[in-house]
Amino acid sequence: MTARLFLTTALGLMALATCIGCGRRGAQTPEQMQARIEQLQRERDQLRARQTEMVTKDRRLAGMPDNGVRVGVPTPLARKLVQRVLGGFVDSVTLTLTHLKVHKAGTVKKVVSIGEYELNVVIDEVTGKLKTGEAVIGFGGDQITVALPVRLVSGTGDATIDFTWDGKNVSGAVCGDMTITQKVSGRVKPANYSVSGGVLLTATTRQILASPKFPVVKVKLKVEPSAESWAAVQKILDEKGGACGFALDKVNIPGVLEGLIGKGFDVRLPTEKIKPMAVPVGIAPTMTVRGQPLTIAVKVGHLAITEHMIWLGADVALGEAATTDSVRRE
Amino acid sequence: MKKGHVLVCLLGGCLAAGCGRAKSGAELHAKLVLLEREVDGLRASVTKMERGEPVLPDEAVVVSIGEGVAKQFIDAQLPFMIEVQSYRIEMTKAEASFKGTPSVTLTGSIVHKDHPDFVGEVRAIGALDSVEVDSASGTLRARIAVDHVDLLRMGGLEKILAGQTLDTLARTVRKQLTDKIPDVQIPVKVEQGIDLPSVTQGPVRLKGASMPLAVSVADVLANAGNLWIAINVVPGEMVRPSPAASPAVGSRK
Repeated sequence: MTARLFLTTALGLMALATCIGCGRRGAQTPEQMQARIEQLQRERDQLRARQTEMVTKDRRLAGMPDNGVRVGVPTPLARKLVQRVLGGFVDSVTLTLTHLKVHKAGTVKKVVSIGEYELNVVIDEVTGKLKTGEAVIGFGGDQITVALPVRLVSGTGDATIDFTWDGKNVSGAVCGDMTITQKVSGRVKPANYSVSGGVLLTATTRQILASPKFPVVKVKLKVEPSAESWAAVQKILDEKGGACGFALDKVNIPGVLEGLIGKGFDVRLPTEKIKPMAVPVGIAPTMTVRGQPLTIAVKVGHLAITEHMIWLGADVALGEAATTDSVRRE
Repeated sequence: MKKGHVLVCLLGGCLAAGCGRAKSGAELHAKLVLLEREVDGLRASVTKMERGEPVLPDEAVVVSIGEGVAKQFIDAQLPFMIEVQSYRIEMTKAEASFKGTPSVTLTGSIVHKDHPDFVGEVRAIGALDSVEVDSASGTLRARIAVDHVDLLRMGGLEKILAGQTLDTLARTVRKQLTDKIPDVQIPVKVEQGIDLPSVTQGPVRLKGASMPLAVSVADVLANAGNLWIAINVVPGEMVRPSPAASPAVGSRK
């Protein structure tokens, strides 16, 4: 290398190295940068203290677990979700009973037995629709309480009445065997119920599960036959005179029907069928790195329910990647 | 001493002085970049709180990630390699610091493709940025925005810079790094809907339904070693399948 070439190279390198310090921040000198750093450090310390003071005052952070990953669901949001889900669940419930059979048999006497009867009512189908009011949901003390007004709003029923008369003795000559079959229909009487229970939260390694817990709730479907149906039954009864009329009067079919159907049919609400609902934020079981899944080991910490937040804490550790290509090329 | 040797000594001394100043300048600059970002973040957050606004939106779901955990998530993406001009840069280490701003520092090596013996050390200083819910997986992810790149140790590279200044190289690396650093995945899953299964048999029938949830990151805060991510979750109207739909009621679209 000639002296001239060496000199040129050396001067170039010198200029280059000097540029590292000079070429930044609008040609600030190190002293200027140092002064600015000191000024910013003072401001930073004040701001950090102020921020921490204000963050720790946030009531939502009270009771927060002490883990590497924390998920907090504010209770106003949880309330909204539970109300929507319970509403959505109950409002979509249709109670349907089919082929219910009620039976009554007896003997009609006028001094002696004049005949025997059997009244069979087959409820072909009765349905009822439920609707909820707004659920009242309480949070705190690590539990969630729910009070849910439920209304049986509408429904219909169809039944077949089958009356059989087996005349005896004297009356048998006058009113022998008789069969009356009549279809009737009606509506389900509206009714209100109050359902009280809670929501049990359990934390798994992946999510918080909210399981509604309610005691057994029975809804009574009371069917009220329509005026047309009563009129049709009455017309048949009115057509029967004499001994048969007497027998039918004694049996009092409308009264028996009211007794049989009017007390209603119990249907148990399948609250156990409300599946646990995953709170929609949790820790994913894997993450993808370079196209390969990487398992995440999760150790669930404390689950806390406060007035303001539902907190789940967890410690996580990444597993081994199932890949041999350890370098990403772009 | 020969004239040539004197010249070599003189130039060597000048270069050493230049390098010493450069290192000091680079260190100061790195510190300044970190501080400015942190103070900017703190100012914004404190100003908001002093206006009476909540630390994080009241009805937002809050996810908190500690620095150590975040480091694991960033480490999972390492090492990664990028090529900038004739240089190959491999990032191998990460540090996360969540004090005022979600700072991330990546360090690694830089080599010239034609001179693999010269191995320098490079440092990128930046922050987690653009935190969002990945709509496909429902998990959170963030970009690392690079503010500053330092060449901490030249390892002989200064011999082959071929007229390019270190600053130019650092600037080029910084510009290309931001787009090439893989996103940081935060394996916190945010569901985008709640399903209600249908019951089609028995005395009680339920029509399945799904409730869509609109989820989006509302705010990000770094404080006392934790990254706080506020996620807005807005429940939509219940969607029930039409009567003609398949029995797979309750499945979310």
